[in-house]
Amino acid sequence: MARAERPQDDGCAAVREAVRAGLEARPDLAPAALDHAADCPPCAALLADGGALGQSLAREPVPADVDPALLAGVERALAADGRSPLGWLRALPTWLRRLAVLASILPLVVWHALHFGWRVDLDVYPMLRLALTLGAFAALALRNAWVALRPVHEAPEPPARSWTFVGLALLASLLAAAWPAPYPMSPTLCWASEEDMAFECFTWGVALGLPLVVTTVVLNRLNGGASIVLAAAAAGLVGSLVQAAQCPHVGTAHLLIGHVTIVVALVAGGLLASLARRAWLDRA
Amino acid sequence: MNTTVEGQARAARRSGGAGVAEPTDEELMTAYVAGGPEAAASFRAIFERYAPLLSGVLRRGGLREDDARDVLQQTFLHVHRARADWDPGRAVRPWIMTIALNCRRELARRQVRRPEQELAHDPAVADRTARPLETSEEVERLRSALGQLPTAQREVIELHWFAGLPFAQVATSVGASVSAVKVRAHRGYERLRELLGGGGAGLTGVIHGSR
Repeated sequence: MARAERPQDDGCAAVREAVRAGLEARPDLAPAALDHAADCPPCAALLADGGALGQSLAREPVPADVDPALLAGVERALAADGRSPLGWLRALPTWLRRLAVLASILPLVVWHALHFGWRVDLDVYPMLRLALTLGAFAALALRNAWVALRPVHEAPEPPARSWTFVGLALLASLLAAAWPAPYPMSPTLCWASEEDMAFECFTWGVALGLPLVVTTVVLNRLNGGASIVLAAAAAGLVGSLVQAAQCPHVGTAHLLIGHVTIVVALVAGGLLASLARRAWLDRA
Repeated sequence: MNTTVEGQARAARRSGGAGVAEPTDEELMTAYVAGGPEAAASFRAIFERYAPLLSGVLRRGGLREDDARDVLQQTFLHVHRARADWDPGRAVRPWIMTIALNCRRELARRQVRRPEQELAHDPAVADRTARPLETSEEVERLRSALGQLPTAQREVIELHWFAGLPFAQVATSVGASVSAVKVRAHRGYERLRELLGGGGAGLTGVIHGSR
């Protein structure tokens, strides 16, 4: 059996031990505790006034062994979890769950790429602009999808940071659309009105991103906080990325109606799904 | 990894004081993750070691008895689901404590939206939730003081004092830097001293008085 590494003690253990025992009762512990506390303000607070606070904290009773019925309940819950496909999927290692989320979008994206190919204006469209757009969308999508499946044994991302990245997804999509067109729209590309084509782009974009949201919800263990919305933002960016790589329309109206709305709709859907899930849990 | 006095005492009690070496938390977790015939017994041993500690942490955090039980169950369900993510080189205690804190945060998010007054009309629930874990006045004062701390400070004190984690592991558990959790702990302990009526000599007095 592998022997785990013991965590490095930072010296606070000596203070806790000394305070619990009483500084006067254990004079052998006092020097080490005081030495450590000289450089550790929290421990200094514990030792202040002869260790009065530490003594108070030490009086907090050690909880008695828990109700055996609780263990039985936990074992029943684990057995039920083991029998359900959802439980099995959520027990997969995090690296595999993350890989599954990425893999979930591949079939449609690959099919879309093979069927529609790259945008037909590649020879005139500024490569740097295209690379920046695709790079920013891909980086933000990967980051948000990664955080959406953060394992439950890690500290959560601060909500403000999560919401900032959801906002960045919307902003990136908006900037890509609102940036001045690199060239006037070629009449040869206009086989339909921009608005008509916008609906097609929107539908495809949402369809391409949706599997990512569904897979994240299925594989997420806690689903807490902004994880569904982060996954939705990532999904919207995947849809927008594919459209940016394929759709040759450069008109701002088309991009706003057909591309930006992919992110907006999926984020709004993610918000609604998150609220619905909370309401359902409240009722349960 | 029973680093605390109470943990060692429990371990000694279980071994009957006969000097039989108990498996460490990490050894139990390794056996549990490996599956096989020892897995169920290992999980039970982990549960018996951690359920009382977590129960205390959850109740001191202001959870009612039924909510604390719910979060405790959720914690062990997530320990089970996350077992494939456990790295044998990691300590079990901060790993489980982080899961418990995340489950408690999830409940807190839901409770913000739950109208508390619904429960006040239910005498059975009111009786159960009002029942103190320990009737000592001093312990009640301590819990009341802990309850007045901001969550960020209380969590750090729970992990540092009650769970006996080094600050590096506390920092990992709450997702902050070591210096940030030390500041939170210092402010939390100082605030507790104020609330409990401490003050006076300070550390300098202790150091000079002891040497």
